[in-house]
Amino acid sequence: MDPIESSLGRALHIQARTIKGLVLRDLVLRYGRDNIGFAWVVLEPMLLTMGVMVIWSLTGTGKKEGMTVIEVVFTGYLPLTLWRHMTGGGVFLFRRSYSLLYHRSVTLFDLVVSRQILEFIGTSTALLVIWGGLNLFGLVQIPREIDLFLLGWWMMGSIALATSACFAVATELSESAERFVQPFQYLNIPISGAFFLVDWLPTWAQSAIAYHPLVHCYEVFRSGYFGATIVAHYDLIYFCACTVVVAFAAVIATRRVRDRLLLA
Amino acid sequence: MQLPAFPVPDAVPASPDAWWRRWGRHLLRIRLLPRHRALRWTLLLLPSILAAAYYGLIAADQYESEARFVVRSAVRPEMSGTLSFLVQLGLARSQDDSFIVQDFITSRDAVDRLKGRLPLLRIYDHEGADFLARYPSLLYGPGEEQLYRYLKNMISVVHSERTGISTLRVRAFGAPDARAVAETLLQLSEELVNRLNTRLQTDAIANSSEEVKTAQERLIEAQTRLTEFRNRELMVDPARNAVALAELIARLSAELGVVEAQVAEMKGGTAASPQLIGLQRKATALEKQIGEERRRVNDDRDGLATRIAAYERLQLEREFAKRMLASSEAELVRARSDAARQMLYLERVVEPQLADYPLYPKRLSNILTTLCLNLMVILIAWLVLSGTREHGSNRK
Repeated sequence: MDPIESSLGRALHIQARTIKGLVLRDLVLRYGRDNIGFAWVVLEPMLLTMGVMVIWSLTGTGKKEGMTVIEVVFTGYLPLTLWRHMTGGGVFLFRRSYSLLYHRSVTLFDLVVSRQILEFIGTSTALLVIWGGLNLFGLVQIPREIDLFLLGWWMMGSIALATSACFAVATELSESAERFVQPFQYLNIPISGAFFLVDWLPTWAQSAIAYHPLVHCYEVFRSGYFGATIVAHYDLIYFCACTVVVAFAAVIATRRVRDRLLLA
Repeated sequence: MQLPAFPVPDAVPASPDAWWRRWGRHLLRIRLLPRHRALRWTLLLLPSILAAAYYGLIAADQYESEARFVVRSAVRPEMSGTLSFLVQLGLARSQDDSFIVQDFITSRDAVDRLKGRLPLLRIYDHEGADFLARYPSLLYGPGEEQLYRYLKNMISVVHSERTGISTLRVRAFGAPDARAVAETLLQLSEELVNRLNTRLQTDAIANSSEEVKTAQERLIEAQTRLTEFRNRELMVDPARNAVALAELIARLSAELGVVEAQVAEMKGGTAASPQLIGLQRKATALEKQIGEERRRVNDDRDGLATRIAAYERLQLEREFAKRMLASSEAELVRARSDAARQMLYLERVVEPQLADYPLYPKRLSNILTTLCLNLMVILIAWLVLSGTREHGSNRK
């Protein structure tokens, strides 16, 4: 066997083992042993989603022809949950796991990736369980185009991963950055497209909101769920460009912060 | 896979465990997957491998034929200003009616009718079709209900809220077949719309034409009674008779006046004229005649006044019947035009297309989707099992 290839395979193997171990560590760290543990990953967004659905059903918000309130909440709130969980996990991520850098094979990227894999799988489980439950009662349908549905979900995961790395770096560099994360998250919710379809907006607002990268995730996700019955406005190339820019910024910043951490 | 085990002292104080706890531990220790790595991954990724094999090697090409249509009605929406003028010129599209057609196309009735027009079994049991996608297959057995469920996958109608255009998509294993099915479905929909229109028209008009008939009958009856009266009384118009009679009385009265004046003149004059007696007699006769004529007019039982009253009532009745007929005829005209305005039109925007490239199945997309789902399920299962094992190890 080619020595380079074998070493690459070995490196990959070590990388996979590291990440696996870290994910398990995060699992225990995050959800504890003496609780119902992993079930929280599913229950938490489920409770929130149910609550929002009940409130929205009562107030009659978001009612449009051809789609029910529950469907709009389902397709809006779950990607939002994914975004919240993944980016929220980035805050002070390095500080909490700093001691693990003692191990030679653990890098800062491993810390971010393992934590976000856990969040991603957890929220995906929530998506499956909630969808299954609602589907059982006939409240949601099978997504019309499953490929787009999944693509939207993965898009949200990818941009959230990049953003969470940025958050991790920012909070590491300055503690006051953490104070800005929450306002940022809250202000982001109403304009991110979680609770509206771009098509509902007037034309000038549509062209303005298209600059928000998260909107594209929701639109792809919804167009996968509702199929051709809705008009979706998304631009995959613009979204990819945004994600690459954020990821690139995260990589550069992580390198900067690594020097700081290692010196400290 | 597993973290290095924390060294646990062997001498654990023996505590009586509940049976379910013991069994739970056993269950957690069971290896569900083979130890050999390649075999393990093959088993885990089996759904993706199967999907790749099916879509890559087996799945037959499917052609899609697409048609677009609008369902319109000529109803004028209530609007004001210049806009309404523009809208009134064109035809308003009616959303509910689009849904009528959409529902029809996805109904069992449509499938039944389709089966009468086209050899559906030959179309979907195409020789090139693969074993999963063809019609009598592993998934869909023979029988009406199964055929209906199968066709629901191959035929879709999507109505766009914004544009009002409905899109009909039909998939089949041959491009001409797909187009034939789409074309037939459109024809069936047009027939449905025509049926609805005929029904609408007959319903709306039946009522008012019934009324017209009643009014006509009433008019004929009134006329008949008037004619009967005339025949019985031997007079065309009692009113004109009365006028003639009044004129006669007036003339007689005038003559009487003249005669009486002459009599008075003669009495006041010289000796008795030989003419006086004659004149007096004439005056008496005139008076008698006038009395006679007056009685003819006034007589309660047989007088002309009574007859005029009866005649006028008959005439009034005929007048009413005439008016009723006129109004019910106008109503009929209105109902006709109303029905015409409510008529539905199915307009084809895009005729069913003949595909020259098999768009379906979306091989790459389907394989990737399966792989993606597969990986997610593996990760979820791994995480859940690991979490549970962690709990299990805590109980020691």
